[in-house]
Amino acid sequence: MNDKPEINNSKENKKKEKELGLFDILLVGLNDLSGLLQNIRFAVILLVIIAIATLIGTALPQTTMSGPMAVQELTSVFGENVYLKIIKPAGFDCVFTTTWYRFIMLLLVASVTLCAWKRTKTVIALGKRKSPITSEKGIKALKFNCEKSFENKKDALNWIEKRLRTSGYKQIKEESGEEIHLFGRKNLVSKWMLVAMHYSFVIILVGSIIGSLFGSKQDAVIMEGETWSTEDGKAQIRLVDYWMEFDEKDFPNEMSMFTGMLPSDFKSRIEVLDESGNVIREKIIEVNDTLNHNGYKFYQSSWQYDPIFSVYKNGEKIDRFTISRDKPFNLGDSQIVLFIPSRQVISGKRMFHAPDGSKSTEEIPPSCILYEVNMSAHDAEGGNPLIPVEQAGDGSGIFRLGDRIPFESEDDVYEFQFDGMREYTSLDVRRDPGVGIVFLGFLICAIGGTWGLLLPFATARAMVRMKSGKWEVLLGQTLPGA
Amino acid sequence: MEEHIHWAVEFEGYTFQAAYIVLLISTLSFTIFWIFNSRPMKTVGKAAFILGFVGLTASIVFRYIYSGRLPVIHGYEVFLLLGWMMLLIALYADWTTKNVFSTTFTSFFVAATMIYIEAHVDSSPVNVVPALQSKWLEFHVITTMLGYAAFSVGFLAAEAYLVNRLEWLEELSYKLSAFGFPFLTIGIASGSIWAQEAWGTWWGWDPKETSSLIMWLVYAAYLHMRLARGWRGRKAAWMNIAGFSSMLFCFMGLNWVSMYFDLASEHTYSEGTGSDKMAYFVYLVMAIAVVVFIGGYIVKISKAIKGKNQDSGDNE
Repeated sequence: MNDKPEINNSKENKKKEKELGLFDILLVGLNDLSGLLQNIRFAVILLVIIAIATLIGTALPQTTMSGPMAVQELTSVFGENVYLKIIKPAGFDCVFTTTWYRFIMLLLVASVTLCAWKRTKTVIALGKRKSPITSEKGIKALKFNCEKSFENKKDALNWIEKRLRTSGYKQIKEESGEEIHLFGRKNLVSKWMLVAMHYSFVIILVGSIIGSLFGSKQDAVIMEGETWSTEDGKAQIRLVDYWMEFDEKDFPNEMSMFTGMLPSDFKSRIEVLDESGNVIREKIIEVNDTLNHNGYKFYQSSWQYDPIFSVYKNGEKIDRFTISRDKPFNLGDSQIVLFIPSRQVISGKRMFHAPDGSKSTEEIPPSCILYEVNMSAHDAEGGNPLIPVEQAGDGSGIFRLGDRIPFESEDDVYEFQFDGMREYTSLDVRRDPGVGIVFLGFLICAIGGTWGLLLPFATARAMVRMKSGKWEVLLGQTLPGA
Repeated sequence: MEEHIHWAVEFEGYTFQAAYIVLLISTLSFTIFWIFNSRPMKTVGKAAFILGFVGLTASIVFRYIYSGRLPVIHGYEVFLLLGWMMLLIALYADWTTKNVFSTTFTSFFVAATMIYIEAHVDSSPVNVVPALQSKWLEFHVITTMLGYAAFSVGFLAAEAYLVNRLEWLEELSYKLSAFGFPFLTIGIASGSIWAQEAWGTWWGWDPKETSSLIMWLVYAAYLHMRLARGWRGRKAAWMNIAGFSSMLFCFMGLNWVSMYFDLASEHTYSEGTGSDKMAYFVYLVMAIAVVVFIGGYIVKISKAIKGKNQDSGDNE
C-alpha cells in the first residue's frame, strides 16, 4: 500500500529534476552553500582549522620571514626528504601565503559576512516586533520569573509597568480578551553592537587584503652620510648619524642585575630630501617614533655593527661581504648562505645618561665573536631545494682583524677572512594603504564587543489575567533586573 | 641613591609579603566557614581579604614610587598587577552574587601565585627597552590583564561547578568571561596598533600574537556556543576551562615553549636573564604543581559549598 505513493513520488521527482535547468541547479547549490556558510558549527570548524594552520605557521620557520635560513633550519631538523616531500608541497614553510590558507580565509570572510547578515535580519525583526502576546509556559520558561496577585486590574498593571519602566525596558502592551500581555526590551543597541562586531572582521580582513595587494616593505640599510631612496623614488632620505643610549639608574646593588646592559634607545638622525637632493626636513627617529613621508613610514628597526668578510676560494680572494642581513651572495652558478645562529660584535660609540643629567660616551674597539658558522649553497634562483654543502665544523671563537674561518666543499676550499666592521642603521620602510581600514575594524570590534557584552540585550514578558477572583501578574525576564 | 627610593623598595617588599600572608589567613578563615559553618570566620575572611587587597595596592604604589612607572614591564610586575586585578574582580563578583565564593578561591589562588613569584621570578626593575617605550604600553597591558583576571576568576567558578554542579557557578563563570572578553579584544587591538607604530606591521604572526588570537577564538567560540547554541552546564564549563588553558599558554606557557623550540618572538624582551632552560622547566613543573594544588583545594571547598547550599537553599 505504501509503496505506490513512493514510486509515484520518485517518478515525480525525476520529472521535476528533468525540468530543472542549469540555473536552477546552480541556485539550489548556492542556497546549500549559503546555508553551510551561515552554520555556526561550520564557522567554528573553520576557526579551528585556521588556529591549527597558524600554529604550524608560527612553530615552523617560514621562508616568507626568514628566507633561505628557514629552509636551512627545516632541512636540518626534519631532513631533506621530509622537507621536499611533505613540508614544501603542503606549503608548511610559507603557510600564510599559500593558496589553501587564503582560500580558508576567504571562506571565513564569507561565513562571517553571512552569519552577520543573518544576525542583522534577526535584530531588525526584533526591533520591529509588535505583538507581545505570549503564553504562561513561555513566561515560566524564562530564567528569572515571578508571580504576584492584586485586588484590581489597575494596581496589577501599574505594578508591572512601573517595574519594567524603572528597569529601562521599552514596553509593548496588548489586550487579548481577558488577558493583558506586555513585552519589554532594553539595550537593543547592544544587539546592533554585536552585529557590528561581526562585520568588523570583514573590515579587518578587507584592510589586510588591501595592504597585502597594494602595500610594500623595504629595508633601508645605510651608513652615516649615505642616501637612500624608495623603489618608486617618492621618498629619499639621508642618514646624518646614529647612536645607542643607556640609562644609568641608581637602584640598590642587589637589584641592579640588568641595569646598564640593555640600551634604552636606538636613534637615527634622518634628513628628508626632495627630488633635487635638497633637505626638506630633519627628524630623529627611534623605536615607537617614526618618520612619515609621502605615504611611507620609516621605522628604526635595528642598529648594528656587523663583521665584513673577504671570501677566498683556494687561496684566491673572490668576494667581500657583510653578514648583517644573512643574505646570500652569488658564487658562480650558486648562491652561498652563511648560517650564523648567534654572533656578537663588540665595537663603537655608546652614550650614557647619568641620573644628574650628564652624558658620557665610550668607544669600544672592534672584535667579533661567532659562536657557530655553517655554510650551505643552493641554485642560482635562490630557490629550493637547498643543498647543504657541508657543515663547516665548529667555527666558534673570537676573531680579530685578519683571522680566517675555513670551509670545505667537495672540490674547493673556501676561507672567510674577518676584515673589520660595518656600522649601519637598519630602517624598515613600509607603505600599507589598508592599515587605516584595519584600525577602523579594530575600533568597531572593540566598541561593539564592549558595549554588546557589558550592557547585554534583555527581554521581559509579562501577562496580567484574572485567576481565582484576583488579578495575577506573571513576569519573566532573560536577565535579572525588573 | 635618593632616600625615598630606599624606603619605597623596602616597603614594597613588606607590603607584598603582608598581602599574601593575610590572603592566606583569609583562605583559612573562609575554609573554616565553609566546612564548619562558622559565621565569625566568614567576617574574618572578608576582612583579611580586603587587607590583602590593600597590601597589594600599597605594594604597587611603592613600586611606582621608586621605578617611576606602572608595573607593566616584566613577569614579576605583570603577575603583581594580575593578582591585584583578580582580587578586585573577586570582590565585585561576590558583591553581585551576595556570596563569598569568589573571594574564597581567589584569595588562595593569588596568595599561592604571589608566594610562587616571590620565590622564582626576578623582581628587579629592568630598564625599559626601546620597543616598550610607548604610550600604548600601559593601556595594552592593563586592558589585557583585566581580561585575564576576569577569565581566571571565571575559570575558578567553572572548575567549582564541575565538582558541585551548582548552576549559579556556571552562570558566574560565563558572566566573568563575557566581562573579560571585551577587555581582551581591546588589549589585542591596542597591541596591534602599537606593533604598527613600533615595528611597522600590525600583525606579524609572532608566537605571542598567534597564541593570543587562538585564545580569543576559543573564548569567542565559548561565548557563541553559550549565547547562540544554548550551551549550559558541563559542556560550557569545560569550554571555559579550555579558554583558560589557552590563556595560561599564551601568558606563561608560550615563553617556555619558545625557549625549548627556539621560536623567535618579538615579545621576549622582558624576560630578564631567563635563558636557562632547566630553570624554565623547573618553573613549569612548579606552576603545574600550584595549579594542581589549587584544583585540589577547589574540589574540597566546592563540596562544602554544595553541602551548605543544600542546607540553606540559597547561595550562602
